[in-house]
Amino acid sequence: MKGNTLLWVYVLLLVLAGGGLFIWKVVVLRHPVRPGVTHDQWLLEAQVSFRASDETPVRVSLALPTHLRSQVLASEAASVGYGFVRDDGPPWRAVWTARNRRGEQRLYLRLRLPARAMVLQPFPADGAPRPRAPSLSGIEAEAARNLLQDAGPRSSGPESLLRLLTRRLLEARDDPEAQVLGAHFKSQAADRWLEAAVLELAAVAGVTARQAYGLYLEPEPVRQDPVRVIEVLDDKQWIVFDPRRPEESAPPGLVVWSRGGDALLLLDGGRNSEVTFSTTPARLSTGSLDLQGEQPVLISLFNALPLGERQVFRYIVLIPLGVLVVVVARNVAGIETLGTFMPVLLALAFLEIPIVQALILFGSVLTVSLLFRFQLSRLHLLVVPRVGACVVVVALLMLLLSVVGSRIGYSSSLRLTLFPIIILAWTVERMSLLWEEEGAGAALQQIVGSVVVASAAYLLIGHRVVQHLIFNFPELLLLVLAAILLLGRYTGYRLSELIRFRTASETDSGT
Amino acid sequence: MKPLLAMPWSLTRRGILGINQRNAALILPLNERRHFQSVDSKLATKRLAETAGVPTPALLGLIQRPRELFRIAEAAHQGAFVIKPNRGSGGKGVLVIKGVTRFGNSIRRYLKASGLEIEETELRGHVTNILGGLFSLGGRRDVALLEECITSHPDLADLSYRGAPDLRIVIYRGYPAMAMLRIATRRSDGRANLHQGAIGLGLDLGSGTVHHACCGTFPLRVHPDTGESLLGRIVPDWQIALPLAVRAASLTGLGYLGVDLMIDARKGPLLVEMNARPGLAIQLANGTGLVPRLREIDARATRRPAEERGDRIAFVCERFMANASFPGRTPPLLSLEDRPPTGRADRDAGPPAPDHPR
Repeated sequence: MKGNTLLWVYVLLLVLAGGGLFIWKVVVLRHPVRPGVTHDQWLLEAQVSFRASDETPVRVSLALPTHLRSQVLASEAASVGYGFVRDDGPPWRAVWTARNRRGEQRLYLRLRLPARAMVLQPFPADGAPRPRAPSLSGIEAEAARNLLQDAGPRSSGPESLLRLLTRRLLEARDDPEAQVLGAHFKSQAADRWLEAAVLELAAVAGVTARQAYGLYLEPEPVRQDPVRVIEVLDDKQWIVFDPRRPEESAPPGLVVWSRGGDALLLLDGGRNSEVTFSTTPARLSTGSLDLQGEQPVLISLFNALPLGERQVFRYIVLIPLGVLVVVVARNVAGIETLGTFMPVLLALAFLEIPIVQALILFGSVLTVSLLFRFQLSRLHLLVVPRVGACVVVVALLMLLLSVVGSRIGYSSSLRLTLFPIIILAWTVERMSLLWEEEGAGAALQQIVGSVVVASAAYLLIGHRVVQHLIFNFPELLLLVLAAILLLGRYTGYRLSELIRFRTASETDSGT
Repeated sequence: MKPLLAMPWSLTRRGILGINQRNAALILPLNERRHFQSVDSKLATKRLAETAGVPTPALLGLIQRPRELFRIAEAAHQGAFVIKPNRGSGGKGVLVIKGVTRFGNSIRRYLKASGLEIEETELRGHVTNILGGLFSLGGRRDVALLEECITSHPDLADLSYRGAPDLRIVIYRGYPAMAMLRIATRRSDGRANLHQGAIGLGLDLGSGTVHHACCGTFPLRVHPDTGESLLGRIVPDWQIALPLAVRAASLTGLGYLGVDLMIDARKGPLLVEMNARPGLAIQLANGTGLVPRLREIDARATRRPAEERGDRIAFVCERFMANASFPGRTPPLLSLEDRPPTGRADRDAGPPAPDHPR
């Protein structure tokens, strides 16, 4: 039983390492075990990406939140090969410079801020800014005046006037003036039309307003584009609102990044520039000022990654949990599945698509491609080309389904990227074989088994607490590994065998 | 009332071997991977058997690549034959061709064991599938074997609903541990594959007498299709078949394996294939668990290492005698007299079981 001793040694080591790290993080570092704990700090990250032009020196200047400067707990710029300076301004800016850069460039800047600093307050008026001169003429000017006459009496001040006008512009269906203005600015400014229209209306109304940039605090690290917001001078203070959410004046979670009418990004020696933001609650409440990136890697495995890239890892850390479910389902319950790890992929797909829709999608793709596969079997093709043909059909079907889906209004939910086409094609192939070899019963039994296991895995990996734990304590995967190793030596009966041998045990009770 | 589930402890008490235990306690330690080749490939088994003088069904032809497909027709001119994937398992991809319908000198159609006629293109498609690795583990490319079709011994032929019965003997460390006869039913489409609805008959190791029968998970007494009485039947040539199986097993180097034999009317017992991961259905067929027998064999093998083959067989025949209702050595003559008057009358005794996991 040497092998067994070794197994227990490994399991013990894994449990000690994983459990120990977990307990240390919870007890000593005070990481929250439950999700939804209010965080007292936030980490904001700006990512600048652009293509460097050859031979020209590069200078990148990114606006920073000047009004938050005094409250920043820590800041860090990740930029290999660049010289970095903070231009303390005002306005506060981050400046990177380099020579001889080629190709795709990516610069990061992180700020750690206390949560209380993020509550949006009106800004005090600075200097004596004046309204812009209106530039509309003809029918558009007429429409703008009509809109103002209509909205003016119903508003309480410049800020509520602008929000009212923004609403009219957004809900322009039965509103000829708003339609005229909308069409004019859409032709001029494409996706920035709303801001342009609101600023122009402000000019016509004699209200001082200007463009600012902000972002929303998201608990999960998702990449977001800068939110173009409007700041408007109202009774000696600047009030900020998001023209896409004109119902409220300071939407919760909105953080202004750059204001005062300055450009968000100035770039020399590059093109195709883009700024994106991501945010994450800072879960270390040690009060230390170090950025998480400087902590030992094991503690902040995730936090060492750029925020946007953690998104990918969300799935990677969930896969082992799904695998654990499959191992239990197969070796302890004895449920047969089509392919060993197909249910895990199916469960990941359920995370992206609501489960009912995913099942309908899965079922319809499977049914149609199975019909196609039965047709193929008449052609007597070799195996690999036949599976290849199935892959093509599955891909076409998915394309077709997403087109149909978007027509009937499911467009946002049909995110098929995670439905692995090749896996689906192999599933079809195996299923059709099983169908021919052992009859429809066995094939359906296995497909149902797969869906049941996938749903069980989905229930586990889709759970909020489980996700929170595994994202923040990836060392728990060592415990998963230990469990899988132990299951590898499980020699007891499977649930399916208890059913299968039920008559055998009955004979036993008779004798 | 049948219970829905067996309690695990009651199965332990019965000595039922589960899949996990089989894999962890028998296959992993006793069957080294390097020995698998000789049983996973039917061709390798056949060559091994030939060198040791163990009889196997004659090989009519071998199809290794698509341009050799004409060999199907060649084989068909010699009469009934079987197409098998070299690395197939569990009877997957095995096709029995009973005969052909001719038109002049050329073959028009092939007659399957189930009575269906198929075109040559369909048959070629099947062989193409075999070559492409459809039936082999992991989808590896494979070759197709064309073997002579065994004419079942008359004592056995009437038992099976089409298809030839085959004999499975589990050999553990050189000792036969349990044996069963698998016979086809209408539901199993002429195949002797238990999870497709075939019937498993538990055999007394000493005499080859059927002492227990079951279909799926349910015990029964007569064949649901043919009405033949099952209990008390004796496998012909048993005294040849058992030593043959032990000898065949010793060629492989595996410690726990299943040996499949068929009893040909003229040639007697022939080695068909061997299996390094024998299933557990044999316990249902025998109505008893394997674990106590394996323990006894362990004890015996420790007490007497390197025992002679004859002594090993004598030991198990003595120890594992089937239970009292069918006393071992004296062959009871029940087969004709005890048969129920109308074959179907007793059908309720053994309804085909629903699908069950392997």
